[in-house]
Amino acid sequence: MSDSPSRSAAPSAAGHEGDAAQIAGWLAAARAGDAAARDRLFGACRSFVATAARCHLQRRLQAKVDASDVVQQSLLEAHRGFDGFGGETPQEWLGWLKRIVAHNAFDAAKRYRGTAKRDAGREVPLAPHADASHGWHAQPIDPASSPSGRAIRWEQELLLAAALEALAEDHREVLVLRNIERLPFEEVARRMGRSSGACRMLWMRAVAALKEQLPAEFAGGEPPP
Amino acid sequence: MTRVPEPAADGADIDPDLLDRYVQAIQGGDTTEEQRLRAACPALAAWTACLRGLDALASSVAADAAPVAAMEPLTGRRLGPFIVGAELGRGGMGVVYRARHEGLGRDVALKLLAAGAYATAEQRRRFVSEARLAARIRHPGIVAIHDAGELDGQLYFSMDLVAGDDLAARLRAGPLPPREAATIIATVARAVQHLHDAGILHRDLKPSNVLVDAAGVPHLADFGLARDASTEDAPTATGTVLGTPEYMAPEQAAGRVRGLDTRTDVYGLGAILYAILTGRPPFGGDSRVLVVMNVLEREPVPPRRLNPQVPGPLQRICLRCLEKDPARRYTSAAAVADDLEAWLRGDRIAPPGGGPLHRLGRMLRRYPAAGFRLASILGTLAVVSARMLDDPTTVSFYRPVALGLMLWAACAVACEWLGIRRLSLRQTGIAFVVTDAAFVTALLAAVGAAESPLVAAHPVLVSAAGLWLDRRLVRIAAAASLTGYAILLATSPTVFRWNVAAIVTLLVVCAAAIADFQVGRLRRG
Repeated sequence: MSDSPSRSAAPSAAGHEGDAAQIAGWLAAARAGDAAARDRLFGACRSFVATAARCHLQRRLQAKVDASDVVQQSLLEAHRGFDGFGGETPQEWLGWLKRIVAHNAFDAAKRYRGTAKRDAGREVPLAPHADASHGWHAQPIDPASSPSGRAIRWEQELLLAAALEALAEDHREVLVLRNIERLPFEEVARRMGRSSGACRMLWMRAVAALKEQLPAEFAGGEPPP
Repeated sequence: MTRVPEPAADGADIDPDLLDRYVQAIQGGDTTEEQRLRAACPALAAWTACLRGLDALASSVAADAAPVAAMEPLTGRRLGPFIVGAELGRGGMGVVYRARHEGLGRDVALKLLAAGAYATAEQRRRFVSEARLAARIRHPGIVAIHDAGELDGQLYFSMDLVAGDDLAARLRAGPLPPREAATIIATVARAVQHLHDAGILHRDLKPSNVLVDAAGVPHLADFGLARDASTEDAPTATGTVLGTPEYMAPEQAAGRVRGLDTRTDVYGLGAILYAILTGRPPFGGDSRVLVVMNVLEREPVPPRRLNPQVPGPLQRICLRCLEKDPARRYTSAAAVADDLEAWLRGDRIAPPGGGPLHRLGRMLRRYPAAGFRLASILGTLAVVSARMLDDPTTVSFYRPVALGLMLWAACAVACEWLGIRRLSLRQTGIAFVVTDAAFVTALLAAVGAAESPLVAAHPVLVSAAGLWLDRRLVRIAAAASLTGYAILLATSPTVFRWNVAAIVTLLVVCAAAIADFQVGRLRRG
């Protein structure tokens, strides 16, 4: 990995980038009924689902919880409801996955807290595939919804998610808390049960490790378009 | 947890504080500060894409969060002409606040889109559609909308503030007196009929959507899932979120979105009536999947059993609304109101319809454990009796078997009775499972079938125990079956063949493992 500010214009074959480049193709083939393409599509999106699940659970419960149930449940629902997915682009596809994850994380958090059924779970997605023509797709990410006004390309989301999943657990946790949940170090330290200074150092190493995991595209100095 | 210091990755020579400030600049969207820091420390450039990517990922995850995403409470803030007061409730999409309209000096209920500025285009569209649907309705039994619009990027609509509680809150204090319950539901049913006349289905009738004012008059609220029945194709309200499963009609719980009609709301009326008469929804369960299964497969426990004060006619009205088959329910909300009002006046109401087959089906759904046992035991009894008639010399051999079967049937009925009156669900299950194992063992012993294919009854019992959806019961059934089989072998006069015994044991264990796995799967759902 270099500090070179040049960005590769075309996706390189490095790491998961190959997956990202093929998502559109797999998605189209899977929608046409190709089971093998569908399996690859799900395989390539697994860490994306895991990252989303982790973020949601962290946010809702403010505690470290095993995300694997939410990941399993979400992938299962996406599998079952796949025929009902009406979108076409990878962006719509990931948006759809994210919404399934968000709902499941919400339910899981509710169960975990054991709150009364009434206040939280009033509306639940029973069948994501219940009605293909409505709602579940058509969820392009609205750049204006980001507080810093910045959108992210879906390829980058996938790459980041894959890189995050490849990290050691404490590295991942500190990144989720500091960079995704945007918590100050004092709070990160409290949740991780370490000193604030130790968290800072851990965080430094985590960012470096993440950078290591990412392909050259991310090492460049220029912001992504 | 200790961590071996890692070799310095590239850029690890950067001061953590500097990097932290850089992240803060990125998170705050402060580009000047970003540039300043980059100018001060060019090495930061290599981190930019990665850090921005993480930040954008954070926003992207938040943007697609569940509709119930947290919105900072607005209490105390000013929003256009409104001064926002306490939060009154939260629904699937919206948050309702008490608010004061400054110009008019009146208090209103202000509903805001819960996702606030994070709302997606789809959520916004649905919110507006809810407001438009609700605005079409003027009825004393329905919360009226005053105005709608957008303030500081927040979609809102304001409506009547009903000073009182919703029915769900009233329920927490226990069931309502039957006459009051009937009066409330009759009024709500008239309001629902008004909606239907306007071509709107509510689709989310439940106690928390009925607000009762100080005078005890109910007002129907929350059109978040309502749909304009005349525009079947228009995606006004979607199938993405469905109502609470506890109060959902079976056709809705099955995931259908099209083909719902006014009778779906008739079910909803019955579900509310059931809840306020008994203090609990018609169906419950530990997980969503279990609730939905119960809604689809079971009959509700008759209200009178939960609250003996419920009069028979009221129970009949309630259960007719809750029929699985829409064709067997009241044809309209007005018909529900008619019957309730007739009962309140002291008039007779129409007796329940349905032929013997329908009633049998209902009995089976209400008492599935005893029902299906009786059916299979009586079937076996029929075969045994036929054999005795066919060949009178077998009568002495089969008589104890026939008696045993009859006794088993009686015990099944007794277990069901105990389950209704005395025992918890798990205790009932244990009673059934142990009784079954005992009778199967005794009957097999009576016909000397320790070595016959009839021992397959043991694994069948174990897999049937899975229907209780309780892993512990599956294990108890397996233990009881194996014990029974051991007794059978021990008392059998034939020579012990270990290989046969091993295979039967294996079958029982396999059946238990499969049932156990399936139950675990459903429980997680």
